[in-house]
Amino acid sequence: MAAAPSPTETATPRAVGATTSKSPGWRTVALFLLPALLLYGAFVLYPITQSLRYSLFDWNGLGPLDSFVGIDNFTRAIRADEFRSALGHNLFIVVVSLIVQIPFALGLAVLLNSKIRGRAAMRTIFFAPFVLSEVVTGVVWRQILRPDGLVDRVLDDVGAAGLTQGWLSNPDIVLFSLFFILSWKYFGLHMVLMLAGLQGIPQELREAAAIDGASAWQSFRNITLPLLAPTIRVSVFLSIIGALQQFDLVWVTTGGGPIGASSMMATFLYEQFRRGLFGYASALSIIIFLLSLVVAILYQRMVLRRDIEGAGAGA
Amino acid sequence: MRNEQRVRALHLMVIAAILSLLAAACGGAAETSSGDAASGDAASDAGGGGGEPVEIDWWHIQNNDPDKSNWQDMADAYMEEHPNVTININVMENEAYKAALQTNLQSGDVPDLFQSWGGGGLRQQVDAGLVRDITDLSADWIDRFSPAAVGVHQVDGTQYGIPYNAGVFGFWYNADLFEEAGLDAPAATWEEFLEQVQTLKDAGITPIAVGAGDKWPAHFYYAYLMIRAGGADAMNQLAETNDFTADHVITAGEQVQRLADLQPFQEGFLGAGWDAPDGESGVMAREGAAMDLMGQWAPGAFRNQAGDPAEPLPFDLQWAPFPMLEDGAGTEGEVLGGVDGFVVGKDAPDEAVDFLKFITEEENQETWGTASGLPVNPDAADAVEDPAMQQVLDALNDAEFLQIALDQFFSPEVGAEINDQTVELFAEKVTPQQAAETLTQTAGG
Repeated sequence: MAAAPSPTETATPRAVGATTSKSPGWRTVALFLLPALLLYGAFVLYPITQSLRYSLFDWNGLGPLDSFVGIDNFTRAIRADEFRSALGHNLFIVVVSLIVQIPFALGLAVLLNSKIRGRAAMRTIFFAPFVLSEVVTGVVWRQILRPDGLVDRVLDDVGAAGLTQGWLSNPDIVLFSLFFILSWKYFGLHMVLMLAGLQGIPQELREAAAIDGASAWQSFRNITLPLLAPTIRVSVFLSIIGALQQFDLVWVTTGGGPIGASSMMATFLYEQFRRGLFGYASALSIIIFLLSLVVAILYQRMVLRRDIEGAGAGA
Repeated sequence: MRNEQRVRALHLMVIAAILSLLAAACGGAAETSSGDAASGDAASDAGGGGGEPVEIDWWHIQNNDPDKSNWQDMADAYMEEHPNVTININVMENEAYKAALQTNLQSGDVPDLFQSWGGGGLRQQVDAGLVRDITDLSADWIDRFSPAAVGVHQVDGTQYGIPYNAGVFGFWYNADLFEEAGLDAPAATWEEFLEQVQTLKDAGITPIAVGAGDKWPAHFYYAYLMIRAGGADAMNQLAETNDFTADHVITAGEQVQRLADLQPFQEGFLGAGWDAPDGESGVMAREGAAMDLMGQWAPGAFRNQAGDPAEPLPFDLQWAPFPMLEDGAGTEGEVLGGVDGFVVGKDAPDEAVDFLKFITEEENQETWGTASGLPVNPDAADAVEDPAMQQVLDALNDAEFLQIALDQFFSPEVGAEINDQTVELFAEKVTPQQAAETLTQTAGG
């Protein structure tokens, strides 16, 4: 969201100028830009400014905006225990995604990049969950994890009845269940990203290393990993932003419950809308937006900078 | 460089796609409006003295048969009698309806007739000028309802809607499972009731199904115990002062936790919803629990979950009132219940009110009463044949004080907080005192 692809923007007028023999004709440029600008203004800028405005009022969504409360909605959000715990749940998902999901995807990608039988089929199978919509995923897993559902029954049948859990109804477990579902859905994406990255690494490098007597681990550690680093950094970025903005899957699977144990910032926000607290909910949305923006910018500046500069120089 | 071109081509394609979608949407809108105009002309031609063509947008939540088709039939019958009237029905599931309505109300595009539970939600709509005063238009025939039912859709003495369904909440119980545990029916007093819960547990039967994931089904316990502890006076006072630290609320919280201490609910109740295969109604339908505190719509939902709404349930379903609290101030005639009605949108034509008169006439209320609801028109009372439903209707008619569900009675914000606090009480995450203080703070008492 925060990324502004400035190279393309500056390239546009130049390209127009290059194709016409006379002056670029700013009218033409404006004409072609107008639809996009209108759409951007109507569906991005206008809603954001409206949210900003609503966030300064105590407003139930109906009737006139007449109760100005300044930054009260923001202080209320920051003080709310429920919002803090929701933020904590988001961060939990971020952290475990980075620790578990990304290495897992990397391992699978390396495995499926080697010449093993049925790798095309396996790539498809592992990628398949990503193609499902979040709502379908949520509904399906809700059925699988419900009390006496598929998981519980399988555990019963293999004589591990003692292991059955309130997978989605136990406040101490639900977050892990959700993390599992999220990983199940998204590891395929990261795997494919890394596969693509792996294919870009020239085979000669590894062959040369092998001739020099490098072990498989040394080859992985000193050739594959450094060359794959840009891809991994993008994967990490997508994972962080995805986890911070998580809504659909959680809402469908648990609704943020039980007793708020799996709430995310976005589900908490949505609940405030449903309570008719439009001013407060708008303030929350601004906070979430700023949080994501800050994380995105910091990450771009500090981690992705090298990659972006590289791309800019190549263009 | 090639990449850049590709990106640019992609951008153009996306813009083209969006523009074509927009164009299609505009074209679509134009078509429908002209289509409607044409059909309106045709209708007025055919109707002769039928008056100006009008349209009524009707949003209701009877998304299951037989009610869904029954209501379509009623609309069709009305349109046949009044050829100038076109009724556009929009049927939604309960939760989806609430979300969609909120959006429409906010944009000022108010449906002409829409489901309402009265209370704090209606008051907000009235304050925002979104609903229509129908006091005069309904004056001639509104006495067909009991005053208790009519009052739910009044704000400060002005009528904004008409009830079509009302009931008292109570325990729907599986008499077969009760018998298995050597019990007859849910007890009349709370202490005995708690003993029965233990007896059922000892017999290996889950005593109670509750969809605490949806929260509102759990709040019935909290609310009913408040009424039993404090009676009508205390409830009226609560509505005025918004002070939830009152004695009867604290007592109710303590009793809720006594019940929760017995662990009487089905496995995973904190994550379960009301109406789903793994929810409260699903558990009851497959005889996974002995009883369920719910309104008159419960048997229909059970039948639906059991497979076929037209087939009787495979077990004996009975009804019993909520037990009395021994030292509580509440009486048997002071009950928790719900009234469904339709309120009239601000821009609705007079015909919309006439249509409400039509659907609450004896014949149509009988149709409603034989399906899954309870008629609010007493003339249609004999249509209720199911003995358990008759009990509910009797309880309603005997009621001296009907408290509507608290999550609807208070503003949406306070209502949601009551639901939240109840579930926290169920999960023993807060004390009754803490819950009461949080509620008072939210309600500004």
